[in-house]
Amino acid sequence: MDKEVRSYEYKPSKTWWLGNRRYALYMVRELSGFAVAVYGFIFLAQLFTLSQGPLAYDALLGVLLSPAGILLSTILLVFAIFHSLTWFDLTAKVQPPSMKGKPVPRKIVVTGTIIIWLFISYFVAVFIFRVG
Amino acid sequence: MENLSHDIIIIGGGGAGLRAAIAAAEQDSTLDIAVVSKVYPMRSHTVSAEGGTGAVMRDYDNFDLHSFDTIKGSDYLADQDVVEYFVKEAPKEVIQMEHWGCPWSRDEDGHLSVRAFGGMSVKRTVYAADKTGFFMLHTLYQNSLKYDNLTFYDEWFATSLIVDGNRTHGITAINIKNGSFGALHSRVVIIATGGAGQVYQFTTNAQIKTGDGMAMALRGGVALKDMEFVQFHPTALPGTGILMTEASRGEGGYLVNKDGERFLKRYLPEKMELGPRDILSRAIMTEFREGRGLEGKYGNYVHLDLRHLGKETIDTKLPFVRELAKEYVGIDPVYEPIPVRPAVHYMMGGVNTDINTQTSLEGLYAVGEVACVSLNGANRLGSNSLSECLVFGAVAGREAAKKAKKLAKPSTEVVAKSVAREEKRVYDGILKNETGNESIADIRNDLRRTMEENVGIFREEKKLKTAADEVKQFRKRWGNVRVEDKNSVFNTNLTAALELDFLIDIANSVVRSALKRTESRGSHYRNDYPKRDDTNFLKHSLVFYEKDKLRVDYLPVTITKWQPAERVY
Amino acid sequence: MASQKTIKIRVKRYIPEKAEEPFYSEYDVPYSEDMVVLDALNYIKDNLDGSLSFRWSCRMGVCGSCSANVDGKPKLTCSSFLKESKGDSILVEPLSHFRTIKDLVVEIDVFVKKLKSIKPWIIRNEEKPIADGEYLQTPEQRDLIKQTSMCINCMLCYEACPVFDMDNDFIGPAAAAISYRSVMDSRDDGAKERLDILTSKHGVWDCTYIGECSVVCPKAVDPALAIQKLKAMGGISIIKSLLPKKK
Repeated sequence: MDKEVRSYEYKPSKTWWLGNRRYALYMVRELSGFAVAVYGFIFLAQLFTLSQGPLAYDALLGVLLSPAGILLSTILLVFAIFHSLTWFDLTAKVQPPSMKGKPVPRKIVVTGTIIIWLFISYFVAVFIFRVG
Repeated sequence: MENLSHDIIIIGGGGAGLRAAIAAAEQDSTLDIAVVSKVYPMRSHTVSAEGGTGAVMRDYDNFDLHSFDTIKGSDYLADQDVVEYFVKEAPKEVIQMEHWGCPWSRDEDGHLSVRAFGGMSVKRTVYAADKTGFFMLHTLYQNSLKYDNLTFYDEWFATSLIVDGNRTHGITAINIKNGSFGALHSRVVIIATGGAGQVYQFTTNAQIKTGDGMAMALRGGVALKDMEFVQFHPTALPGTGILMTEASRGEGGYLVNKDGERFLKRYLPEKMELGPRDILSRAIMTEFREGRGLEGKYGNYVHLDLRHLGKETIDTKLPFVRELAKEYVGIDPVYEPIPVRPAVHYMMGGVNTDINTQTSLEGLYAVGEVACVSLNGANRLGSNSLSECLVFGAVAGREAAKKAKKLAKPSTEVVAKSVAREEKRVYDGILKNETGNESIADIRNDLRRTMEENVGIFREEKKLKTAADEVKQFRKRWGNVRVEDKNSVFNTNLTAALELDFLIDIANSVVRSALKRTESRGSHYRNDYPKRDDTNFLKHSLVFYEKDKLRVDYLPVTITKWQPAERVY
Repeated sequence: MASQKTIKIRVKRYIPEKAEEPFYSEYDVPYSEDMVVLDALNYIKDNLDGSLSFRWSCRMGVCGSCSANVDGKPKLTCSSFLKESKGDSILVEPLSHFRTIKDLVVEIDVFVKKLKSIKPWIIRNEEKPIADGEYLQTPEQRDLIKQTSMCINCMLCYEACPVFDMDNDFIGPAAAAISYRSVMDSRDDGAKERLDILTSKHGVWDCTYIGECSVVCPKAVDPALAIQKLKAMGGISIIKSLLPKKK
């Protein structure tokens, strides 16, 4: 009585993520992870050239400051910001802080973390440009 | 055909079936137990139970009081030894469910909360918001997965009991997923297939509740008891029949007619909305007859008004009622009253069992709504049915486990003969019947309409006789039924034909018993005999299947402490 | 009688005994404002084509049987109203992340196996006798398990989950949410055991937080949130196990 019957299996299409806004956003977010990785790589490269002396470092800086380099950086920046924002959004959902026993509304947590993030970025920028 | 064999087979994976399965599995880990269900267990209709589970949980309450409420609610037709056993066991079962993880609602001190319910003289209904059945069913199912000696046959449709002389040898069944037919051998069978609300047009019951187990037992030679007692729940949504739990009145909701009047003051001034279901349903129907109902697309209705409870109470205690009303009738009970009318909800009657859930057949047990252990008599009190599933489910499991150790193996010969006969009936007689020209849906709709019109809340001889004649016609028409789907895989057209076959037997049993009971008691109200008649009818009715006809007989009621008295609230 | 308004229902069919591949059938069904897709399917089965197979039972959104894709969105057919559809036809298809048995009926044993694997029962170090009464639990403690205990096993979240589509062994949203409920239950002592299961291969780490499971959930269980919390707990549990034990 356990005879097998032929059941049908749907194969996922290659474009499954195009039909739904959330799936598409998800793919963009996955892609933005790649952008963050590239940023990390550039940072490592900068550290490496720095260890090789000012000449090497300036050469790299020249590449980064070329119009193509700036374009690349801008694209990477957009992706990195997108990635960060989705991260804050996520954190607000997973670990919502509570006030007087009631969870703080998600919007407030997200906005709060973004403000903190901008604040820290400001100090980092000030630090860098003063030093520079 | 292959042979599958187990020590115990439980038909039905709802509250009663799963509780029995767990009890048997815990009693003896060497027993091989199977649950056979036509749906995945978590789809069983227990899932729709809302209000709660009745049990004595507080110091202000006691067993005698719960017993008395139940007996009075039953209009003295409950067996009092059964009631006394039940009320003592119910609290233990509620605690057992708690230990298994049921998310009961809690008081501030951490104890289980209780709420008021119709016909209960104090607050004793334990609940989990207003999805009590849902939480209980999932708790039982999830807990049942832990036993290695439990096997599930999900989506297997039982078609008959295998009976020889005075005992069962198992069941015949269709594996719905692949369409194969065969036997499941067993020493012991527990029927836990639930009620038969689908025999009426307008019901709170799920479509799976087609009285399969009752009909199978009846054909196997076991009597059905008290079948004339059909409970109409006073508050269901018009059209769909979706249940608006009694807890909405337990929490303080009002029933209001078209004049905005709490009309129950004319019927039940003491109890008002917390009266028993039979009296409330009759009161609503009387309002309709006297022109004080509201008028809608699906006929008359009254209002269930929860507005004065406030949003917070509704959201914490009755969230499902709010969700359902918003979804299905577009009404938010926080701001508007909900349209409701009575609908068939529960069969007090069922497979005749003793206090140990045993039937007249050796090795056959029945439990839950399918059974009539005589806890509910002529009218069940709200919240006693979930407790009944637990208390007697546990009894059935333990008793079946004991019996399985004593009974010999089922006879392969008997089983083979039964399977051959049943396979011929189902496959050759029904599925492959090329000349059939009666539509399943037509017969079913006619049957349900007849029952609604003639065997409803108010009954009388003339109408009951009409119903009896028509049921005969339905039986004849069914003999010529057409199954359009000739495929074997997942053929729900075939199972629908078989369910209709069962439903016709159920209708017949209800009508026969109702015709013979020339008195009014509990849910059975006869316009032509409006008084209770203890001299002639303080007894259970039994229907037997004899040569394709039904014979009605009677059985005395067991009385322990509470002598029958007038039922006044 | 005035001509009744009708609506076209297109159903994706599959009958293994008839054809290798799925096909579509079209039906004209009388339309009314208060009809749901399930009513239309029943109208078809009762009046137009008895061979159409689909699961249903409670028709009040709590048994979880009647899931399907309605106009491409995973839904309970008993609570999707015809009037919610914009066009003059409605497309009903089976859930595509499960194998189709027949028409709209899909194989969900894959879920039952997952459910069993997460041990969805209460695990206690020591069981107290029934006679000693209930385990006390405050309403606040109960609230912690409220949302995730609402799961009706309808499979819509699995249908929304691309990860499950790629890998059928992924524990998936519903099973993870049910396990989260066990972990959070004040009566349960099995957190460590459960997190070990959930953080092993095919466990919660495979979730890439798309969040669509929570969007389609008809009971607002929010499995995506439960999974992220399990990741956090699982991470902490792993770090703890790496730290030297206190003496």
